This record gives sequence, C-alpha cells and structure tokens, in this order.
Amino acid sequence: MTHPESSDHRPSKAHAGKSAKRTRRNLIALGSAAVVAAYAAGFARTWEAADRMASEQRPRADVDDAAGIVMARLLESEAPSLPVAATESIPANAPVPPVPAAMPAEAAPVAEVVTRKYKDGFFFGWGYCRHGELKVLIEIKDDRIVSATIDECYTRYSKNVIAILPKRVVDRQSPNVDWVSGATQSSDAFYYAVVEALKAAKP
Amino acid sequence: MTAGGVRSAALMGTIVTIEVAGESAGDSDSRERSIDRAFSWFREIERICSRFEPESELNLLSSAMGTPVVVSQPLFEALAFALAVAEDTDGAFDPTIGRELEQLGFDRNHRSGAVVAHNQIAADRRSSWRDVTVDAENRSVTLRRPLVLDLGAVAKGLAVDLAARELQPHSDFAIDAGGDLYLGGLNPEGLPWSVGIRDPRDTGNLLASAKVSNLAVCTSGNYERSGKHGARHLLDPRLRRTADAAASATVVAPSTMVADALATAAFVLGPEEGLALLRRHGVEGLIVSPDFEVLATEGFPHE
Repeated sequence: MTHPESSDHRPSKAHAGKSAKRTRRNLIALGSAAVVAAYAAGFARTWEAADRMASEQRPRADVDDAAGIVMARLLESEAPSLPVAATESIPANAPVPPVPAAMPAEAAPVAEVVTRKYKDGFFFGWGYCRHGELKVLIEIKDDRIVSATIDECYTRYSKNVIAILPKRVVDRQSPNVDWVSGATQSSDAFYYAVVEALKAAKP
Repeated sequence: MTAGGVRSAALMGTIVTIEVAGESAGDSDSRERSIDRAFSWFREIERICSRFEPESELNLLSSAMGTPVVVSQPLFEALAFALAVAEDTDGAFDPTIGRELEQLGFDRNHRSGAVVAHNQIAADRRSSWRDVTVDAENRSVTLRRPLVLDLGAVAKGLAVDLAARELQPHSDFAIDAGGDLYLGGLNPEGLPWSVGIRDPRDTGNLLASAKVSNLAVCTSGNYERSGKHGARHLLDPRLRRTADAAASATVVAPSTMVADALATAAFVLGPEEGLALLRRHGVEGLIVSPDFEVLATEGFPHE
C-alpha cells in the first residue's frame, strides 16, 4: 500500500508540513520584537541625524538634496502654504520630546525673512525611470503649485496610468480615499520631473 | 491651532510621504522634528539594507561568503525576520534571490541611475534561504553559498514601522512608502483612514477600499516595475521565475514589515494558499486571482 506522500519528491518535507507540524513561528510577535530591537539600537543615531539634518536644512531651500527633497506644500490643497521655515513662536510650556542627554541642544529657530522660494509662472522638468521619460508642466503661484500636468510621456505605461499622480499633487487625489495601497513606481519619473521643474522655478 | 503637515522625499527607490493630521499634530516645531526623525529612519535603513547602494552593509555581507559576519542590529533584525518568513512559507518568500532580480534587470539605483550588480558573485542557483544562518547571541550572519541578499519588502516595511514609532506621539498620522502604508489614529475628518486598493488590471482605478486605524496596508502586485524582456519583479523564489499565481495581494496587519512580507508571500502563493497563510497568522487580506476574482479574508475591513 502506497502512501500518497511516497510519490512526492520531498516526502519528509510534505509530511512535516501536513501532519508533523513543525513549529510555526508567530510572525506578528516576531515582527514587533524586531522593530523594537532595531528602534532601540538606532535611536540615538537617528535622532542625531535628524537634528543635524534639520539644522542644516532649515536655512536653505529643500530641492537640492534628492534625499531631503520636500514636496511639502504641494500636497496641500486648501490652506495657503506656510513658509517652509515657519517662525511661529513656541510657547514656553510646549511639550518637548525626550532628548538623549548626549545631544547638543538644538539651535533656537532663527527668525528669517520670509522670501519667495519660487517664481510665479509655468515651468517644466523631465523625469526618467526605467519605463521611459516624461515631461511635467507645473504652474506656480504664490509659492504653491496650483497645477501639475504631464505634458509629454514616453513611457511604456499609458499616460492614463500616471495621470492619477498629478491629480494627487494638486488635490490629494480622490475625495473618497485618503491613501492608495499598491506600487506606484512610475511615480518616480513624475516626481523627478517635478523636482526639475521646481529648480527651474527658483528665483 | 496648527495645521497638519505633509512632506515627501525620494527614499528607498520610491516616494515616501508622511502626513501628520491636524488635531493631534501638536506645535509645528515638535511635529516637524518628529517628521525629520521619521525620515531619518528611512535614510538609515536604506543606507544599511539597500541592494542598490554598493557600499551598503547588506552588500558587504553578500560578498562575505563562508565566515560569520557581525552585523548591525537593524540588518540583523530585518534578515532574521525575512528568514523566519521564508521558513514559515516553505520558501515562497526568500531574501536570497537578489542575483536573479539583477539578472532580470532590477539592478539600477533609482536615484543615481547607476547599475549596481554583483557580477563578482557567481551566485549558486541552488542557493536559498536555507544557506543563511543567523546567530542571535553574536548578532552574526553566515552565508554558506554564494548569494545576493535582497531585503526589499522587509527593509521598507521595517523603515515604515520605525518611522511610525517616531510619529506615535502625534497619534494621527499616515506614512506612504510607495503604496506600502501605515495609518496611525484617525484621518483629518476624525474617521478611520480610508485606503484604496489599486486595481491590478487598471492601476488608475481602485478595486476596493478599506477603513483602518493603527494598521499597515501593503499590496504586492506585478503591474509595475518591469525589468528586461517584460520580466516582472516579483519572483516565485521556489521556481526562480515570475510569480503568476495572483494578480495582486493586499495585507492589513499591525506591522508594516509583517504586512509587506506576508503580501509578497501571499502573492507568490496565490489566493487559496495565500489566504490560508494570512488566516494562520490572524491578519486580514485580499487577493486578486490571475483572472481577477477578488477573494478576501472574512474580517477584511471593507469600507
């Protein structure tokens, strides 16, 4: 009499998976523990890096550093955008997150003259990704992007596929959902195109 | 009264957007600092775990075959978790397929465009997750065959989870790492965040939407990121070819790292085995079959 498993090329494995039940791990618990451990180990480092970045970045425009690029106000549709280096006064009793003792005190925000970051008008930029390239036209008014459209598109994907992106930049996409799950790699090209266009819009 | 803040940056080969919603945002300075720190985690994890940065710790590890290598805590945690998922799924998820991905054309640094390939590593086609051992006591990793590690899904999820910890004091926030999401608290209208699931047939459309709070939502699909010859980037590691058992797989879980890894595994396994995997781990999910039938777990938080 033949066991059904005996025809399997990996009888012991099939057996183990079906009935012997090797110990299955609780991935949820394991994942949480991993995050906690990684967080504890990198905590000081990351805080320091963030503060360094903050102090380096505040005085200057954000678009030069690809890693630190800020699409900041592009995604906000209503409220007029705050100047990036907002100089609101901070109440003395404002909650301050705990700061590791070794960290240098952060420089107090320096009052800055609010200047325009971008010129008004239309600007374009090219973005590239492995799917191809596209040209984006943005309109800036009072330091805000009021429209962003794909002007030319040479990607393997149709213009419709990425058309959802400019819509999101201007009005947070769909009024019905807050976010969308699912990869959006062709957004990279669009993104770089916007960055290029913003550079062109610098005074 | 402070408005919430939204910022985006190009990180980990995608666009990362962080929003701290208005009511809970606190004063703008503490909010901005939290967002800075959250972004720093992405940079940190990218620096350590990217296959596209030649000098990343991950790549240095890939080129050190045969001897135990002591690694940083984040790399150790990401790798140990990836191996646990590999074991749990009998290899439907496997962090050792980096070389295959390169050969399919996924070898370019998204930011610089530079090709990063490990041509010096004659990856053994028989190599798998079983050839990587981790030693928690010494925090070391040993590769027993030449292979190229790829922590794509796990590392991005870990970075989102770490960033979420920084934003926790603000309670209402959202992190979007190229469609991998973590939604903390409530949206600006005071309701659970609503998340659309992209339709794998038509990525401009939504297939369904879910209402979530303090949960991650990740989707694996093959509708983007084609490599050479139309190859797609999600491989079935057991067969070393494009996975075709599903059109997309979405997972809702308490942690982004878990959601991302399980979405990848469920995508490779297909609807039946994929949903069984999700049920076994007590997470919710939705899998679209190759002929676009939508199947979900019983408790999926449909909107």
